[in-house]
Amino acid sequence: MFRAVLYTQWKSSRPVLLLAMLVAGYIPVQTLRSMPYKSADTYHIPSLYYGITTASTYYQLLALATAAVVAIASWQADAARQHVYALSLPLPRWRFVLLRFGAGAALLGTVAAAVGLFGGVAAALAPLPPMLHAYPVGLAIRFWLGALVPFALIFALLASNPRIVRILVTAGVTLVAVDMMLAAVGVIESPVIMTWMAEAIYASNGPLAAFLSKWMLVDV
Amino acid sequence: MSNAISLKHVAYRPSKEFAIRDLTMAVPTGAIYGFLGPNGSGKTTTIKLILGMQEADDGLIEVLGHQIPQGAPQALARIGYVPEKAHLYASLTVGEMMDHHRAFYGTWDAARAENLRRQFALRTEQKVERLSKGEAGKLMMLLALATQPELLVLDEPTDGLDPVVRRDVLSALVEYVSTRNATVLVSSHLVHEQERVCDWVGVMDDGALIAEMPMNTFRSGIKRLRVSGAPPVLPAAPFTLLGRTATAGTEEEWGVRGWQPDMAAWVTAQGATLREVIDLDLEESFVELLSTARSGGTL
Repeated sequence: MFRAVLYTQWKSSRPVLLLAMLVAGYIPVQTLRSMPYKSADTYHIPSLYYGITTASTYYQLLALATAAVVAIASWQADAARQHVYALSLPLPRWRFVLLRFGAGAALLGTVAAAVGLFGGVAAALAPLPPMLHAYPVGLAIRFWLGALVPFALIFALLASNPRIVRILVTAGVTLVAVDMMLAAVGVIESPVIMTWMAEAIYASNGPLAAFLSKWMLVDV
Repeated sequence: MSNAISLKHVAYRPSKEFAIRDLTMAVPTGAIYGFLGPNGSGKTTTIKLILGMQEADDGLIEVLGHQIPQGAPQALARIGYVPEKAHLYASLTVGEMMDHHRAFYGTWDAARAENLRRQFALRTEQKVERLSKGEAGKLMMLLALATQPELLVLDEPTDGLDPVVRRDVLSALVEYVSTRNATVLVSSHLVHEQERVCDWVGVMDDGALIAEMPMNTFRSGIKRLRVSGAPPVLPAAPFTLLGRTATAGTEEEWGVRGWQPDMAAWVTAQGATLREVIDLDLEESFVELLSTARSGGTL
């Protein structure tokens, strides 16, 4: 069953996944190629650090984008037919949802594997300065776990009852709009809800905390 | 006689405009049950309730001995379902769709699937999204039959198909049912088509089941009488008078249910003359029932 579900998701999201893998290959190659040194003995630390941290941002953006697309693709085929086929299958709904989630997580794993593979190859080909090491496997795991969080959030939202999602989104947008209006007319000093949301999301134990740290291919 | 499907006092309101009201219905095991009704009468909604796709607000639904929706997965493993609209994954090919479906059914009969694929002239490499309506209908029937179901639930399976495809689909269905003795619930608004294959009939209108009986009773029991000189008020009749329509002069047409030839004496006893007893085909009977139900008459 899992193979069958995985295959349908692979077929519907294949172009995006292949593109994500290509980008995963391009990021380390481009980063290490543009380093202002010719060999491991001649390097410029600030430029090297800048290049690697920029690549970290690219990895994070790639993880977010891939997670969003894979989550949407997980339900797209079912949603297009009002979930009739899925609901007619002889298995409990929770189990089907779990199969879809597992397949999405596995597909994110292929992009994470590409991140690790291409990162490892690029680092092996680039002359790294002494004391610096490449961590392609660590980066791949971080990429996969990091991508799983937004994937799970979007997946859950799309798996929910559309009416509940509409109510939640409408309530959220209304609250934020009122908050911003109150701040704009000076009733409150700054948008309270927006600040609270940002703090909750990016707190060290928040759902997107992984995106606050650097995703370094090369580190000490 | 046991029932493959049993609904008792089921109520469901999916929207403000439409509701299923106090629906009690029974599909006997082994029957080919024609589920008739005009578009929007609630046939598809009832089918979705039967399959556990939607949850009733009230009442009891039992399918193949399983309570629905709690036992829906166990029941669905023994049901072949062909929905009203194509529900297949567009990105897959015919072969991939068959493999995908097989993964969920331990009862999948690969040989039957392959035979049906050849019989329906479907190519494994054809993309589902490029299938014509007829090809998609045939693929859905193939998937339903290859799981060797004890119960087939077909929602307008031939709607919009050309006569050749319709014949192919129906003959595959009849061949399967005759060899497996499966129960079939087939919904349609194409009344003449039901007449050929069904042995039970249920008529749905505006969210309620207005009649349910063996096809023979339905077909032979509803007649149109041409009567003249009948009094305006009639005493209780030995048949069900569905409706009275004045035609010319003192002549009237009566729609009746449960008519027997010896009841002509009762008509004469009312001072009326029975001029003609007209046999109705299924479609005319269906229309007679619907118009009676809509005018609030006794069914």
